Amino acid sequence: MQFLTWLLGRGFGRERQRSIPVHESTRPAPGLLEARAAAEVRARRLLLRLLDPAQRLEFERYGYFAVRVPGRGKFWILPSRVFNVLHSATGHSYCGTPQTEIPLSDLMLAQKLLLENNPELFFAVANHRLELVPGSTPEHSLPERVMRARRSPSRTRTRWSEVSMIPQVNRPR
Amino acid sequence: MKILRILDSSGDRVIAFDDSAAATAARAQARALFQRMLATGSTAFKVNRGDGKPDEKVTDFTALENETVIVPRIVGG
Repeated sequence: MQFLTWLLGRGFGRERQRSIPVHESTRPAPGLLEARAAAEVRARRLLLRLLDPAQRLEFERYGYFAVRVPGRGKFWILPSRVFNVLHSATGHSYCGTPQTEIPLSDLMLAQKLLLENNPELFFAVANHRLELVPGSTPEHSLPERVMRARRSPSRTRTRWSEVSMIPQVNRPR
Repeated sequence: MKILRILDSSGDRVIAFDDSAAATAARAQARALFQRMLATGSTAFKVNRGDGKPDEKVTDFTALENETVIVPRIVGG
């Protein structure tokens, strides 16, 4: 018994605590997951109610929808948290999100409202990047192409010099 | 009855009020919240306006209609 007390006092118990896998300690509590799911359901219901009929049909069928931005043309709002506003004419995607954390459907609603009614504010703060080369993909398949590319696992870059079977005489050392 | 809907982590927070004398406290709370949110960079939009009217940005509390959605301040991601 004394030995056991000594062992625990030396930190054996603490070691046991430390050995709990990290993913278990960082996993969100079940209650938090349920709250997030409920928030998403609520947000989706609001989004569906506030989309116009064509947008609602598109969203229910594909999970994304298009908005017309005065003076700038057509943009797709994709179901993603980053760079999810895709310009159909240029292939640029934009990333502008509320500062506070909100469900994904709320994010899509916020972007719809901003793009249709206050685009200057959105484009003033949003970051953008070239997602696709313009003209390389038919316009109607742009969103699918972007989402498919994001779903596919990223590949590590390999240099040709590492796989080539041809000896490289002038290879710098 | 007018509804102020503030997007947040729970989906949205709703404050209902009207122009009656009985709803004075609720209206004052809604006005204070509306002004505070806009002062901190949020944007408000009149939605669900009926008669085919499009959504519209609003900055004046007295101009609110049936339903208003407040989008928290946006930043570049």
